[in-house]
Amino acid sequence: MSVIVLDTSVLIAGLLSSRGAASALLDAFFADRIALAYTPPIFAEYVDVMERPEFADVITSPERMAIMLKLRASGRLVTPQPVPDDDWPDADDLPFVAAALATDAKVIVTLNPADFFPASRHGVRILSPAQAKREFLAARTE
Amino acid sequence: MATLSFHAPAATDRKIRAAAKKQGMKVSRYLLDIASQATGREPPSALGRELEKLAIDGMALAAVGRVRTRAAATGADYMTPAQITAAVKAARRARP
Repeated sequence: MSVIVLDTSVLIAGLLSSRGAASALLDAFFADRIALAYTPPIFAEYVDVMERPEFADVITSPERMAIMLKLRASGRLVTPQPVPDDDWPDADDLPFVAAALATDAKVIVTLNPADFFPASRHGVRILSPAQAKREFLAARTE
Repeated sequence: MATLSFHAPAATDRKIRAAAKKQGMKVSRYLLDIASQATGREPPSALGRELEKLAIDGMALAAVGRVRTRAAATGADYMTPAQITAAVKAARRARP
């Protein structure tokens, strides 16, 4: 099973809508067709964002807990790897790079590829949800 | 009181002695504690693990379904990537 890292924006996009590639990736995770790698900082950020006022009318506390329980149960808790020095646009994105470096696939799926542009220099591939869907979900149905 | 004895490679012997010393215990007491903890644990059965997974999967799927229904009703399902990214950045700024 492929193990990939989802940027928080993709998790939220996939939760909010049943349309589009982000939701297909999330559905694949819930169906155990792909696995999501995470570390404690990523886990904490997922929770923090779901708790934001922007989502207060949409995601209730029990739903948040159920989703995070699934991540704990079926996700892959990985040991973050050291992130090489580079011109990373946003230090807050580095936990996702550190997690991706700990996986075989070394893939981050994001809505904001520019935030991770140095990643390819360090063997990490940055994919959009549509690219990840094509690569990881289409292959599974062949 | 029964007496147990066993052979261990020298490296293992050193590790056990060092670990016992770190805990401030005699080697025999340390091993007895470890063994008691290990044998006292009830390993979950395969059926138990399967039931636990089914329960978690069911709760999570139901949760996502409800979230999406509510998002569609409130229009949150049309949030743009920029709006979602803004919420992520706001959560990061709000960190203590």
